[in-house]
Formats: sequence, C-alpha cells, structure tokens
Amino acid sequence: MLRRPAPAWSLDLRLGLWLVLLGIALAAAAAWLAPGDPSALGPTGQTLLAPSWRHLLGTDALGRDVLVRLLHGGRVSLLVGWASMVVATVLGTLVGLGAGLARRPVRAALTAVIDLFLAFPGVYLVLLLVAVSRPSLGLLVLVLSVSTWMDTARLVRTEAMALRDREFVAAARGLGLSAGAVAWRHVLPNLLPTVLVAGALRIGQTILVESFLSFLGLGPQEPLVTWGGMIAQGRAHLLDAWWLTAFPGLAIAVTVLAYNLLADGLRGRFWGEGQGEEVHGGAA
Amino acid sequence: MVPHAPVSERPPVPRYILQRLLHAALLVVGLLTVVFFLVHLMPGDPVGLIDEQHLGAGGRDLVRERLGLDRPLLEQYGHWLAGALRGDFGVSLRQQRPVVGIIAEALPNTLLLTLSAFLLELSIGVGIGVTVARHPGRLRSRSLATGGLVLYSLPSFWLGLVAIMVFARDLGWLPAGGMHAPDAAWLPFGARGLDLLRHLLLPMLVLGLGNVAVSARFTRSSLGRILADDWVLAARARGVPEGRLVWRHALRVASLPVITWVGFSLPRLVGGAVAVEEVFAWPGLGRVAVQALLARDYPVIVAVTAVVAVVVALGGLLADLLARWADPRLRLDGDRPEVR
Repeated sequence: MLRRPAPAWSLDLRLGLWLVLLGIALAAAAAWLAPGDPSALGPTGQTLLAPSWRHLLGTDALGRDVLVRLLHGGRVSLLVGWASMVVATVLGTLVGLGAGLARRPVRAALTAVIDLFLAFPGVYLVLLLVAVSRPSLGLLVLVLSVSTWMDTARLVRTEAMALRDREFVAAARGLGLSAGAVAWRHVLPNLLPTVLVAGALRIGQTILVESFLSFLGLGPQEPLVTWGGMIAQGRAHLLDAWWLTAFPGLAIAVTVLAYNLLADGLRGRFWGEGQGEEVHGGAA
Repeated sequence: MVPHAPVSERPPVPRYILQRLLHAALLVVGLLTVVFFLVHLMPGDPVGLIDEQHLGAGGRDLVRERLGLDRPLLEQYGHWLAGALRGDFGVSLRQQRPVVGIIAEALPNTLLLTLSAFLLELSIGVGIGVTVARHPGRLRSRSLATGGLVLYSLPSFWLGLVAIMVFARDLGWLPAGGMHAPDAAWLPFGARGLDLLRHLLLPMLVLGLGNVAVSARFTRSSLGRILADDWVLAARARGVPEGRLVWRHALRVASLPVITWVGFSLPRLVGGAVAVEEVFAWPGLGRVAVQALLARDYPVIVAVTAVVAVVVALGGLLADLLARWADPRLRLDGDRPEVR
C-alpha cells in the first residue's frame, strides 16, 4: 500500500517549533521585560486584584503581578526541563549503545539495569530521590535525569541491535575500526532521529513532573518562582481568585504541548505520518 | 518431516513458566537492590531533613540508630533485603505502625482508580485510533489527534483542581475528594457502592482523559499496519463491508498485542495516578508516598517505591505469560524452533 509522503514542514512541526522558540525567548528576556524581583511584595492595597489592563493576569495574595511571575517561572521550568533532558539523553544513549553493541556479559548486565529501572513508575523514583536530598536546582536536575534516562536507553538499545547486523556496520568492523569508533561514527548518526524525538518528548514530560514537585513544595524554593509553586499558592484561593490557579496551569500546558507538537512533527518528518510510534511507548 | 507444526500442539509451557518465575525472583531482588543503593548513593541525609524541633536534642542520632543508618552499608543492605523479602519494611516514623499495613490498605484503592481510568482511556482511545487509522490526514482525524495531544499536555494535578472548582464547587454535582462520604459506613450496600462511584468519577475522568492520546496512538499504529496487509486487500476485493472489516476482522487481530502493551503501560498508569490521588485525596499508594514525603517519613516512602516497582514488574511478567497464552504466534519466536 502506498504511503502518503509527509510534508517536510507539517503544521505540527511549525507550530511546535514556533511555540518552543517563543517560550525560550520569553524566558530569556524575562529579566528585561519585567525587571526587578518577582518575589518582592507588591504595594499595599493591590492584593488579589482580578485581571485588568493594569495587571493583565491579576495579582496574587501578596500583591505581586501574576504575569511577571509567570515570565520568571518559565525560566526554572525550561532550565530544569532542558538540563534534565540533556543529562538523561547522554546517559541513556551511552547505556543503550553499550547494551546493544558491547560484548555479551556487558550487554546482558546493562540490559538488566535498563529493565530494572523501567519497572519503576518515574514519579515514584523522583519522590524517592527527593526524600533523601534537598531540592536545589542541580540536585533536582540530577534526580529527574536519574528517573528518566531508561526510556531513551531502551529505544537506543533496540535500534542499535538492529543496526549491528546491517552490512555497513559489519563492513566498518571488518575494516578494523574499534568498537567505540563503530558506535560513534556509524551507529550513533543513525540513531539521531530517535534520540531527538525522545528528547523533545522528554522535556515536556520533565516539565510536568517538575511542576508537580513544585506544586508539592518539593521543587526549587523561594525566591525562585515556579509555575507549580504558583498553582499551590493559588489553591488556597480557589474560591475567590481563579486567575491564580488558571494561568500558571495554562502556561505549563502550552509549554508541554509545544514540545509534544515538536516531537510529533519531527516524528512525521523522519518517518512519515503514523510511523515511529514506539518512541512514544514509555512516556512517564 | 513436518514443515509447520500445527499450532494446537502446545510447546512445553511449564519450562517457560519456570524460567519466568526465576526471572521474577531475580527481578524482585534486583528492584530491592536498586531502591537501596539509589537512596544511599544520593547525596543527602533523610534524617537531616526532619525538623529538629520535633525530635529534641540528639533526636536525629536516635532516629538514625533506630533506622540502622549508623551501621556499615553492606550490613544495612543485608538487613533491608532480608526484611523486605519477608514483607517487613519497618515501622512508619509518623504513624508508629508497620509500613506493610499502610501499603496493604492503599494498594487496592490505587488499583481501582488506575484500572477504571485505564478502561475509560482504552474505550475512547480505541475509537479515536480507529478513526485516525481509517482516514489519515482528514480534518476529523487531525482534530481528534490534536485534541488528544492537548489533553495529554495538561498537568493532571491542575486539571484535577479545575475539575474540583467546576464540578464540585460551582455545580455541586460531585464530591471534591476522598473515597467515601463521612456517613458511608451507615449506608445500605447499594447506596455505598453508588457513593464510591460518585467519588471515583472525577479522578477517573481526569486520569483517563489525559491518557486517551496514548491508547489512540497505539491503536492507530497497530491497526494501520494491519490495514496495509494483503489479507485486508483480499477481503475488500471480496466485498466485505468496510465497517465490518475494520471493527470485526482487523481490530481483532490488532487487539492481540494489547495484552503485552498493558503490561508495558503499567508504570505509566500507576505513576500517573500519583498526582491525581494527591489532588483528590484518594487514599492510594501515591497519596501515601506524597504524604510520607511531606512528613519526612523515610521508611514509608522507600517501602512504597519498592512495593510499587515489584507489583508493576510482576504485573508485566503476568501480562507476558497471558500474551503467550492468547497469541500462539508469540510462542513461535526466538530460540526454540517449534518444528520437531
């Protein structure tokens, strides 16, 4: 059956990419767009104001502008999301390559480690690790990467094993290239699509987990602003100030959607529409 | 020589089951080991996070001693493994009762919420997946797929808060949280069931709808492959009506991998329930874990993580066995040729 060729720049891909870039630009320019400390108390008499032209998204219980805090909160979410994704992807790719290409005992051991970690629901692993450490930004990134690297590792391992038996890999090995060189020069480039799509999905998922942790008060602490923390503060005012809960949630949703769209668009671009679904299987 | 053994001639299943059981035992020990070393290799000190005021002077050392954290690492590991394998996970610091009891109370609640949400996810997701697989690129398919992706991108704890705001506060249709009404114990049996359903509905909807996209994707890719098969073309050529072909023939073949897939999805399902349980005060494992974490109740959080991983892993193994039972083709794969 003939498959429709997917357009190179599908709507998903364009919309996802634009939203991702917009998010990064807003986070980068937050200090310039909204100078000053977003956690400093607002002027008296300005608490819990509904959205208006002066405060587009209203103010919170301490008189702080919600829009300003949203802009600053995006920095934490994006930083944690990207950093965790990079660490998890590097770790997952290395372990996955080893589990797919190394000699038999090493391969078996690494595969066993991947399978053991895959049995954990990611959120529980995050909670467990947060229980023993204080939530500084660096540790949070470490915790989130340790809890998420195995999805990438599983995908990389499956593909590396398929590539191992291909002629060009056998040829490279036959020419006398070392195992590391074969993995780096001949296997890794063929894995890039998978790693990229998984990475884009990973950022969205990590931002969701980070916002949940911040919502519980276990994420980055004041004076850092987090979207999850803003929702937690808004929870006390569900009855009288809906904007405190609504807007940070929408900000998270749009950001995560951007990365999910980007992943879908990249998937369509690499493999054609409806293909490569297995990359989505292990989402946390 | 017989070129193809008839499928009804079953391969020696017992040996396979034995292998799997051994695998399961190794898996349990492995998971307990991972939990232990993760906790102990992370920088930080669980007892150091407990508020000194609650403990009094020297209280932290006392807690450390009681938890055995002052012993050599390997001795702690042996103690942990031996205890955990017997089902002894120590005593909760907060509640002063065995952790096993706390977990045993919460596990069924988590399973109830998770499985009902999964059924909801599956029933909607399959419908969307079939539509998208049959009419790829159509407007209807695209909007359904995009809708699923939007739901998938919403933070479930936030969606839960919004649902509480709308359906519990503004409309007053459903309770805002918990599992039973305060007077549930005095209600007759039928009314008690109805009460439970009313409490289940919102968390189930939030958890299930968020994941519709995952089921839809799975259905689409599974069904899409099958619709490209030659036998589908042949059936079409014979004039089998399209709806009947998709729903009766193709979907039946496509549904076989579902069992394996459910096993594979268990971590996602159980993990996703944590945030929803917390927001709706649903007394499941996720809420136990979060509350233990907030109270710095270290033995509970360690035990819950270990138990969840073991339950999920054993569920995965069970799904694997079931899949082999349901789909004879799976028994033909791999190292054991069936031609004898």
